[in-house]
Amino acid sequence: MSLVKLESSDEKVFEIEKEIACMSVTIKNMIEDIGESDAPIPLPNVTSTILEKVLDYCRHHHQHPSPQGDEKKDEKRLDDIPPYDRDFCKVDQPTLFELILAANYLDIKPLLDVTCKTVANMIRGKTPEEIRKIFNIKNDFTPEEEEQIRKENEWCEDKGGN
Amino acid sequence: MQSPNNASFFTALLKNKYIFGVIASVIVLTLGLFKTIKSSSDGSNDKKNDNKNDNTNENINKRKLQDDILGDLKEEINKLKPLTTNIDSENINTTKTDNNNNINNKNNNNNNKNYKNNNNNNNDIKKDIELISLPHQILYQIFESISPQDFTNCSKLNKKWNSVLIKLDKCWIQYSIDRWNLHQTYPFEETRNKNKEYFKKKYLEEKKRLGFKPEQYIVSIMSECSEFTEPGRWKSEKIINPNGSWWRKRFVEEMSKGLTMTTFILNNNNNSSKNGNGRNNDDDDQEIEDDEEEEVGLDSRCPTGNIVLNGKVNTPIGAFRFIDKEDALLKFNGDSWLEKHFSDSPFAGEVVGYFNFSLFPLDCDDELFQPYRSQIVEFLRILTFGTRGTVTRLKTQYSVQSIVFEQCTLSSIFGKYGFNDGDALLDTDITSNYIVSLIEEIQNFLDKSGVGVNTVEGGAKVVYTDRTSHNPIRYSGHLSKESLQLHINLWIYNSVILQSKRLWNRRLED
Repeated sequence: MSLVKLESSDEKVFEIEKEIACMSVTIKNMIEDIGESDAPIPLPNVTSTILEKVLDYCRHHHQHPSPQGDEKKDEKRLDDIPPYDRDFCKVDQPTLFELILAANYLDIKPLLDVTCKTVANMIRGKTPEEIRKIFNIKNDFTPEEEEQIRKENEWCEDKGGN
Repeated sequence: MQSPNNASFFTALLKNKYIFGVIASVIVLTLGLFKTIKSSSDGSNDKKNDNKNDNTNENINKRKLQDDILGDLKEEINKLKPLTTNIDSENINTTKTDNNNNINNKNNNNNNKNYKNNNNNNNDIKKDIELISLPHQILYQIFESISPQDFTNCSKLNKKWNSVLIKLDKCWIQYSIDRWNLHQTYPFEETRNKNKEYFKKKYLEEKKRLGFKPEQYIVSIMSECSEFTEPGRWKSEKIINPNGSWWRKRFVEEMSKGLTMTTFILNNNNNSSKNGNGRNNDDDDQEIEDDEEEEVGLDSRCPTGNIVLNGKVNTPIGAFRFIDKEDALLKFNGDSWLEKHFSDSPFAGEVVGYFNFSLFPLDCDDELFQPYRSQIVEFLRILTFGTRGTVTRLKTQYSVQSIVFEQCTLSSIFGKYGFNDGDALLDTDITSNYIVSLIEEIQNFLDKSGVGVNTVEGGAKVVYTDRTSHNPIRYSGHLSKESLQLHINLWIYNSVILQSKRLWNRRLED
């Protein structure tokens, strides 16, 4: 199996099987454009720490592919994250956001889906105050502004629903 | 000799005051610039050469210069980012990952030469990343999977979140489209946006309808459930009103035919926030006012009611609620038990709806349970037999099927006490599809095994007898002892379902 070299933004070079690297559509396209080369493929938007994690993810899913039908079926469900992916996303928020950016940049759809779902789950069913705590957000609304926004969104406020 | 010429040149130069002035200015400026560069590159020399005031001013200038450079670098890095946060939300739907990759690749190629200079700043960026600063396309993906209520909660967080989410309000419309599978009804973005009010109304209606706290158990009602009334009683209803309330009417009528100790009392008020016994299940629930007239009784979408002892209407022993198949999928979306309610059996068919119920004595201690034991056993026996569905205890999500594809020995299916004294048969009517195909299946099995009347003279023939209250399936002819130990797989009623302690919290039958 042929190997490719990937160079992170902090100049660390990772050698990995081409098939695994090509799980990233971006890398796949670059390889196709550049052709076979010994020179490492520069990934200026991904640090070595994040790239290492991304490659771990790709390696795992290359070894344990999920049935294609399942991926499609569960696209929008938030509660169907497989155990490995759930553990994979148990990282601090900056790392999680960096993983999202990396997945988007490298165009690895399953990774982007699972990281986005993880963030959506952090929001789902929470009150504004709870969300503020989770994402360390400071409320900078004046009481008047807050009241106005409450009125604008009154239509779907919780009135005893599920 | 050139010296006299040079002398004359300088003499001429000195005479030209203008040229001299220009040259002098250039020399002074060059020296000044040189000093500045020197002082910024070597701070230690500043202390020796400049006084304190000069030093402070130069440090300020230096910081400004560094800030400017850092600012420029950050701008460069931002340009390098795969997607900027400035992507116009209008373009989100059309801008998909592939397009971005092309952009990224171009950026990548253009900036390959420069990226190494920016490396050290990537770690600094990490500290700055916050969720709401992610590219809109990513935010769109995150927010389209959360409900309108979660979405509006996010817009209340602070000004920045509010301003970004105003641009992304298509997310909750997309959520609505996905949730109610309206892709074909609203294929175009324009029509979707025009129907915001419709989506809002639909969301609120659904929230009201599904905002109830479920009862303890849920059983699926199958399309091919047992019929206690005359055969074919519901055929026309199914055709006339395939998606309507026929299955609820059938359920109540069929159950009522079988029940001798309990009965159903429907609530007239179709208030979804109330439980079957009229108590409010959730203390925090408040009624959502609704001016529209609603259908009542079994014609309403999710009728509720009480299970009462015969003749004691004011003493409910349980409560119930009917739930549409579509509503159950929305209400219990993601619950693993839902998948267990689909049956492969031709004698069950599809799920047409759900009966969600509680029987209060089941949760009580034995002293309070025992007086109601026989009523509850009868109710559950007829419920599980009649619906042919799967029963789930919602608290634990433990499920047991009412009908099973079971491996049976021939000795256990023939004779007076075969099929658990006939209790395991899904039907006993000779004209029913079940009995007809059961007899055919067993006879085929006997023939294939070389012991049936069609393959061996004097072999066994499956017969049906209606002169018994026990098992009507018998055989004539000869079957050896060994033959009676042969195994056959058959669809039968799970007659031990009431023995499941895990399901009912106690063994209801021994």
